[in-house]
This record gives sequence, structure tokens and C-alpha cells, in this order.
Amino acid sequence: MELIISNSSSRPIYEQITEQIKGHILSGRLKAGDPLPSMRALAQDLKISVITTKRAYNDLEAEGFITTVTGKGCYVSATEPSLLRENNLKIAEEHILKAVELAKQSEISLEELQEIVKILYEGE
Amino acid sequence: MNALLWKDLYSTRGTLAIMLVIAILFSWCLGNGGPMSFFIGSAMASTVVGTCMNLDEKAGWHRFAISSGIRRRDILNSKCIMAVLAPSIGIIAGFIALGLGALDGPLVIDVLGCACVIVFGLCFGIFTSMAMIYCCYRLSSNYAGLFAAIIIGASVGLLVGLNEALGQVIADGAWVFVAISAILLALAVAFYLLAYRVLLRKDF
Amino acid sequence: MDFAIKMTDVRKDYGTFSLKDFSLEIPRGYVTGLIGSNGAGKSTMMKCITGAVIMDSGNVEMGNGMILKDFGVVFDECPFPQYIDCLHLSTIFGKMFDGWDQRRYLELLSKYGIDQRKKVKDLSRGMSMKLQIAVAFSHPTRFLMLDEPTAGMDPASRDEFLDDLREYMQDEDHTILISSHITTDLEKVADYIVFINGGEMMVQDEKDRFTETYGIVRHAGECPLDRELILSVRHHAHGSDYLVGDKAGVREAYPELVVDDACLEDIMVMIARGSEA
Repeated sequence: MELIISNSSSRPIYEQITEQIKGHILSGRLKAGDPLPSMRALAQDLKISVITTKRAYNDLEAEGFITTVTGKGCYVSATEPSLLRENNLKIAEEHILKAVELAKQSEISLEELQEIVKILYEGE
Repeated sequence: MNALLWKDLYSTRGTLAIMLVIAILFSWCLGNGGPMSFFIGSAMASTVVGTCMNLDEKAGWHRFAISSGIRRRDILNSKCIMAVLAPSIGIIAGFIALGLGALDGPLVIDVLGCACVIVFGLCFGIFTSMAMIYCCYRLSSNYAGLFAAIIIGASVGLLVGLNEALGQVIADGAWVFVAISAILLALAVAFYLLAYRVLLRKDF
Repeated sequence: MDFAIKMTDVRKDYGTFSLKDFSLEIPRGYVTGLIGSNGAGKSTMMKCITGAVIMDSGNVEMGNGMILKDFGVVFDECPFPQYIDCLHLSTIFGKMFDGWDQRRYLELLSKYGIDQRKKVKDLSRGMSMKLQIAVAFSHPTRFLMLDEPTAGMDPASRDEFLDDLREYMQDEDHTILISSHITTDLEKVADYIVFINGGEMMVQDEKDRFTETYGIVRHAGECPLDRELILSVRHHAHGSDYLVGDKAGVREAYPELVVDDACLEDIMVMIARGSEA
């Protein structure tokens, strides 16, 4: 599992970890049932605090991406299609929010925006 | 063997050897291959205890030992064992000096006199060692050197100055030595207790 | 979360310096870094924990059945008998510690490049620290107490040492307390940080929280911020620095102000040399 952590990024490290692991899972590079390194092993490899890896794994577990089996470790959960969809919907929403804010700033109307979305959606 | 004792013995093996040699030579040169050699050897060997205290303090050994779970009481007790061992080695020096004296000619040994002086020398050595230990813990081991010099000076002075007189005392009543030895031992015990009290409260 | 060490209202008065009502919990299974200027009380605090220094009052408790024999200690000056060589030194430790691993000790000496035949007094500062570390790693411990362990070490050795610490922390029963001036080392290896100044515990928090949320506002002229936000302030000839605990919040509330990221060293200097708002 490849993970690149940047100290100069504005995003907290645990977020970078959750993002990248989610990316691996959603893209299929990590499959359901694959074991993840323990929190301490990951902290050692990335040379970061174990509190950070704990937090990242807790968040991933809360969102249903991984499960912890006591005494054995953390594994990738079976990816339900609804989970994938939900996650991608969230990301799309974030992008659209940016477009909406920009539109409001430049006094672009809702109708104009919806027109653009329609063209882009049907065009591809 | 106890870790602390091994450390002290191994650290001072050179000093012990040198002290031994000096004690033997001194006694031999004094031409008194008799009782007094025990006394000198014992007094000098006790300076080894001062060396131990000095080495410990310079390195900062105590804070390591205590932080690793060794009790202060055990630290003091191992020093006390040294306080007895070192003078005992001094006694050995005396026997060797005696043996060397025998090379010059047949020895006339007053066994009782020798025994008394051995006991006296041992107790004197223990007494000075314990006083040295207390002094070092109460003040600092920098004084150990000074203290040792005083002891050796006094011992040598006594020995040389009162050589004849001492010989007479032995002849008259060796029990005097035994009596003084008992007092010295009691004082040694007193110093032990004082050192214990000081050590328990000392910051390292 | 259970603690490895809990200090409650510890006091130690040396006349010129004192530890005042010092209370601190060192969490088990994590690395706690101690930062403070010279004379701030780090060494005194550590010695109060082990009993090398007798506290005037207060209490030190060890959690989870830990005892002093479980400690591995590294001091800023090498406390070993100076005239004994590194090999014979191990005889002492073999008798002192249960479970002393002679083979591991020799491996570590070799790994750290320490000549077995060298006497302790002939080792350089960095080498003597590595010797202490080798000893600490060569017997089973549950708590490592390190007082400025990397002072005098070259960067490559420091990196190797930090790796060794991370390896030690793979066991979640292990705890480390490490004091250092080299704040970059603590940024790399610590989970929690404690700032000490003038014998008092100033602040304790997760290391990431310090580096990710603390910031320094730089401004010339009158203080632009709400007093409550300011942790410490330093005045210079051309302006002032304000240490804040929530840089994101400050950036949002005061978009016109210059808010810099703060590393541990910045925070330490602000605490040591700054004043309250």
C-alpha cells in the first residue's frame, strides 16, 4: 500500500492518510479482506505519531471502510456499492459547492449554471 | 557476586595492587617485618574506599543506580563490604611483609602480639573506611583525598614515631590493642548509621 | 487512558530553583517529549520520578504495576565507571539486571560503532550516549527515560536512534519519556509534548496539535487580537509576535493579519522568552 505524507500540506496528516487509503479501496487496489498494517507499524513506517494513525483508522472504521478484529488487526471491509456511491456523492457535492460559490460571486444565475451541468452531463 | 561490589573491586584493582606493594615495601624497609606491617597495610588499603567514593561521584553513578531500582541501603552496604575487604587485603600485605622479613633471617614472632595488631589494624582500617564513607556522603568525595592523606600521615607518623613505645606496649599488655579495637569498631558502626541517614536523604 | 507515571503536586526546592506543584501524567504506550530551556526543571523532574532526588512534597505513582527495575535510563552525562572498558562493563549490568541480554549488547555496540576495548572515559560525548542507549536496550524494560539522549550525536546517528525508539514502541506496553533541546527530533518521534518553564508545567498536548493548530501572529503596533486568544507575546524593535492556539480560527477571524505556522522550537522560545498577554 503506497502512502505519501506531506508535512507542508495544509491538510492534517490523518486526513491525508484516510484520503489515500479510501482512494486505494475505492479504486480496487485494496480489496475487501486485505489486511492493513497495524497502527503502530504504520506509524513506524511513516515516521509519524501513533495518535495520528489511530485517528485515521478510527475515522475509516467509522465510515465503514475498514473493520478491526480484536487480536488480529485491521482489514478492508467488503465494499458495498452504496458506500462507494455515498462517498462519491459527497465529493461531487463539494465540487459543485465551489462552482455555486463562484457563480454567486460573479452573479451567474442558477438557470445558467443548471444549463452548464446539463450540457456537461449529456455531452460526455 | 554483587554487581556493585564487583564494580568497586574491578575499578580499583590497580589501586589495590599498588597499595599492596607500597605497604609491603614500606614495612620491609622499616625493618620491622613484624606486627606493624599489618597496621600500615590496613590503613593504606582503606584509602581504596575513598577512591571508590570518588569514582562514583565523578561519574554520577548513584543517579543511574537509584534510577535503575537499586536501593540506597544496598549501595551503602556494598561500600561497607569494601570497607572490610580493603583493610583485609592490607592484612595480607602484612603477612607478605612478614614473609619477606623471614628472608633476612629467622623471625622472632610474638604470636599474641601479632594477633592483637592484626585485629587492631583491621579495626583501624574499617574505622577509617567507614569514616571516609560518611565524610564523602555528607560532604563530597573531594575530601576523600584529603582525609586519606591525613590517615596515612597519622598512621605512618604513629608507626615511626612510637615504634619503640608500641613495641613496649605490646610486650606489656597486648589487650590494650584489643580494647582500642573494640572502640574503633563501635565508632565504625556509628559512622555506618550516620552515613545511612545521610544517604537516605541525599540528592544525586 | 492509563498512565505510566503520574506526578501530583511535586515540589522540590533547591534555593535558587524550585519545582512548584508539578503535576503531570505520562500516558502509557506513547512517547512523551519534554521541552524546556536549560534550568527549566526537566532533569530535576526526571530525577524526582526515579527517586534520585528526594521530593520535598508531592506524590509519584507508577501505573500498571511498573517498578523502577523496569526502567531504562539515559542521562546527559555518562554515569558508568570511567576506567572500565565497554566489554567488562557488561559484567556489572549482567549482575544488576534480570534478563540482561549480552548478545544484544554486543550487537548494539557493534552497530553503534563502539569499540569494546575502549574505556568509558575515552568515549566521545555522542559515543557515551550511544553506550547508555545500548545498555538501556539490552535488558527488558517497560519505561525509557531519556535526558537529552541525542546531544552530541551526528544527524545520521540521531536518525538511527529515532528508528530504534520507534521499534521499541511497537510494544504497546512500552512508554518513553524523552527530554531534548533538539525539537526536530521530538517532532519526528513524540506523540505528546510537555512544555516546562521555570519549574512549572506550562502545557501538555498531542504533538500534532501543537504543530497543526498553534501559530504565531506577527504584527506591528497595538495588539490586534482578542486577549483571550493570546498564549504568549514577544516584542521586538519592529513589531510583536503573538502565540495563538488556534491559527485556523485566527486566520478566519482576522484575514488581514500575518499568521505563521509554529514549529515546536518556535513555541518553546515563545514560552521561555515571551510574556503573558
